[in-house]
Amino acid sequence: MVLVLCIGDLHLPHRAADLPTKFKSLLVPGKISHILCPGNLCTETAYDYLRSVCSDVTVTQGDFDESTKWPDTQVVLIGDLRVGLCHGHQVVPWGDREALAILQRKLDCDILVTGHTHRFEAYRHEDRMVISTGSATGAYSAVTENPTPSFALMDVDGGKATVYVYELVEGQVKVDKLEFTKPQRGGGVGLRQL
Amino acid sequence: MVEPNYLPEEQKAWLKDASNAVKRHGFYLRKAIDDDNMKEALRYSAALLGELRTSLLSPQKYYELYMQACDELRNLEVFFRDEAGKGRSQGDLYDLVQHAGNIVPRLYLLCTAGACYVRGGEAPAKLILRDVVEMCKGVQHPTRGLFLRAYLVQVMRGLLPDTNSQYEGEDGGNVIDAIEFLLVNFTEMNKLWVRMQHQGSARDREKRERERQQLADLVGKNLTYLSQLDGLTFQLYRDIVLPRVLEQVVTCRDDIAQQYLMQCVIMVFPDEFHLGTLQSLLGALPQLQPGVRVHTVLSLLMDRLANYAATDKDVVEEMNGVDAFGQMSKVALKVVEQHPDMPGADVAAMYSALLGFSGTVYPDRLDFVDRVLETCYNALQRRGPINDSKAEKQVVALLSTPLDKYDAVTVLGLAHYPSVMELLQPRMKREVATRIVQTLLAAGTQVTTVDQVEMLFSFITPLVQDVEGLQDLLDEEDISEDQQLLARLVHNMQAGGGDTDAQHGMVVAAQRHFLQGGPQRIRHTLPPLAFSALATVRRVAAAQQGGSTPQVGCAAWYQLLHQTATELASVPAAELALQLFLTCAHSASEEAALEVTAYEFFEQAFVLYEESIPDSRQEVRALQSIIGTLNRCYVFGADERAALAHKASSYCAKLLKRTDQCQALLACSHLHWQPAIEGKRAVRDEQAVLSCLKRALKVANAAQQQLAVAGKPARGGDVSSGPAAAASLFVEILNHYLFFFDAGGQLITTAVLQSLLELVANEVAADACKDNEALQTFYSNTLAHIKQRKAAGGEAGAKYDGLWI
Repeated sequence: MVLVLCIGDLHLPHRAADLPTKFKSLLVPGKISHILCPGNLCTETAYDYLRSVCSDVTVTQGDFDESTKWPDTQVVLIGDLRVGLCHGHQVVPWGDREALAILQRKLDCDILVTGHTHRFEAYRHEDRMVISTGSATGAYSAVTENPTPSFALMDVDGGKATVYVYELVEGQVKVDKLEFTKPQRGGGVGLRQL
Repeated sequence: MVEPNYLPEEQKAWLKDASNAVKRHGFYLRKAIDDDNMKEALRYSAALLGELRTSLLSPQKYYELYMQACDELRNLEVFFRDEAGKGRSQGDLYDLVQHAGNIVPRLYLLCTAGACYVRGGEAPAKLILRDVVEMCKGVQHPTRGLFLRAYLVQVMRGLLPDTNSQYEGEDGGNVIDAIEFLLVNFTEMNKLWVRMQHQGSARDREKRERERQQLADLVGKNLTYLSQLDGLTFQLYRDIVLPRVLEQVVTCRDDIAQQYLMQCVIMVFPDEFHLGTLQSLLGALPQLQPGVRVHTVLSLLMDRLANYAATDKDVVEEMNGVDAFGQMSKVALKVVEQHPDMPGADVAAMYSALLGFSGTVYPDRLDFVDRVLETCYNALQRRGPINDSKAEKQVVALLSTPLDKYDAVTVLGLAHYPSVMELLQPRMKREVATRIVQTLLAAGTQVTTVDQVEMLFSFITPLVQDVEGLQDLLDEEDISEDQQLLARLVHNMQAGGGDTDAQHGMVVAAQRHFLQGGPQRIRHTLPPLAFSALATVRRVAAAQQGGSTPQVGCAAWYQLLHQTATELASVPAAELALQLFLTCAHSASEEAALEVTAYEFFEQAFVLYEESIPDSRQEVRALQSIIGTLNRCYVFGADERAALAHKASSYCAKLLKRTDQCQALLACSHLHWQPAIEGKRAVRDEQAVLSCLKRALKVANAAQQQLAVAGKPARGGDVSSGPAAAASLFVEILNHYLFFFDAGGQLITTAVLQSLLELVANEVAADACKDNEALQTFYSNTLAHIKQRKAAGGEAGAKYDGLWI
């Protein structure tokens, strides 16, 4: 079992002073084995913070990141799952499920971790899963009013992922749970088992 | 008398000799005891104790010898006790031991015999105690006397006529006698200890002071035993113990002794005693020697009392009753006045402790804080500018203390806070400024009015702009760190009650200050301000739509934002400025529905795109954002929209790489096909969509030819170069066709899709692409998608009926 933290759109310090204290106390070093950040950390300091929680951090480029060193998309293999990472400002229209599905087909990932909209979403689409991490700081967003601070923890066991959604609602941490199991797939087209 | 001062090696040799002698005599002593020979036993005890007559050893070495001798004496003590059983009276023994020839052995033996005398119950404790403690005056050599008395108090401490002890009684005396004994011994020991300072040459002062520090506990033991007496009531402490101890402390006029003993008194006696005798205790402080670090004594006392107060509410009442704060500040003032040469660091440390005390005990008395700062300022100011590092550190600590204990913004508003801060050098002011900001951030303290913003900036100037005497000390990294703190602080500036007009005033004020900082700083500090403004403008727009009329309307806010973004562009931070213009454009379009304003923001973004984006990768990024934002803006009329969309798609053709061009064109297709949003008129121009897609196809063709020239067949997962990259573009185009087909486009028919499918199938099957796994997966995923749609049935599935794979 592998614990994966999906956290993005922190926008530190441009849109928030810090991560909510209640989130910080949850994110203790030593428990998490990967961090997937779809982007918009903004500063190196925020990156360093994530590295202090877990040294294995995968980041993709956000539209407000100071650094331009990150790639636009990344795919990592966790357990038996291919997990794709992309901030999402490149996908027009922003947050559109069909548009994201194109990206997901291209990256061939079982789970796509994305952001940009600052609205947490986790849904299945054509046998695959999409997690939009929301903003961990509840940062201002052009498209979402009063975003709820959120992140997700994914417990991956082989081809199965249990996603715990953490949201800060009225000062209280609310946790939701979702499950995703990778469907058995055949090798090529048309061989998909029914 | 001048004490010899020998080298450590010599000391070692002497100690070894003496210690061997003690061992030898000890052996014979034990033998005599075994033989039950009192005469011999006394002879050898005197002989081994005689080794303690030496003047050659340093106190530390002497201590080792003393411990050894004490071990041997314990045998003798047991022997004495057993003698009683054999019919010899302890009184006889007490007389007998006094025949020893030398005074040092004689008194050690007297102490031992005296203890047995009392323990045996033959003699009243009070008499023996008084007798021995007086006799010990016979040894006046500091080291020897000190250890002799240490031995005395050690053997006697269980035999004192304390309340409820078996030695208490009409003859044995009571607790008063016990106190008397300990007080006399304490006084005598302290005198000896102090006298040790005056031995030897001035050259060795430091060494001697060090040695004396090591002996401090021998003297302190007396106080510890005093505090442990069962019968020591508050009255006895107040009327007898404390006055006598303080008298000795004050009159000994010795730095080390005063320092140690005052701390010892505060440590060993209970808190309620201190509170009850606060006046006498504090009264002693100004009388101490100038070299005594009164502030550490005072801080110790204040810390203890503060902790005591925290345990019980009644204690606070009691403290108010005796005006603890008033008394302490008076003493602090007196100390400062009496020692005009007291270093600034100590002054600051003392007041810092006082602030800590008042912070804990009186958490709501800000006037106390101001009073302390005022007196501290007066004291420090007379000592001139603060520039030694110790004093600087202490003043910084002094200024930090109230920040932690009280509401930081209120503390900054105190009249004397700035004046104390003014005493510091620019470098340290920056440190205090950093501390202030960190405290505000840690506590989440809100800055809620324009006045507070102005006040805050007056304190943090060294962070906000270049300050005389500081420029050369800071490197880029320092400045960038400072600015990140300030950037975070911006989020704590929220006008009270969500008043957007007040917020405008605050943002304008903060911006004015930030702009003083120059390009290096504003690239960090302006963005948070802009987002704070964007968040507010959302509320303003909602309010205006709700019918209320804030004084500062959306237009004024966008003006401010325009200025902010323009400043950023001039830093230059073109990319950031461009992104900000785009965010503003979206806000103006979607929240305030101000078409002209939104257009202006886009125009500025385009200007930056054309003139200031330096490299091709950044160009691609910027264009992605332009297209993504424009897709989400619904405010524009047909002409404006056409102009902007046309401009954006013309940029696509100018990108360097074909793959980038093609992908940008695909994104552009969405400029003519907006997602449906309730209450907004979505643009749906399928003709224009199709034209974008066709252009994308054309570019993909060109890319294919170009990549065929350049590339070797790519294998494995890489689709970023080679012919597979071009083929991948075709698959991507197919996906976009499918997107619009699904979304209800009429011009994209099954026939169009069918021919495209065949084209793509050919491309993907080409030799150069067959082995490219990523491409093949993308393709097969796409086909799987179509099949799934087909299989879905219903109206959506029926559309796919004519499509054949």
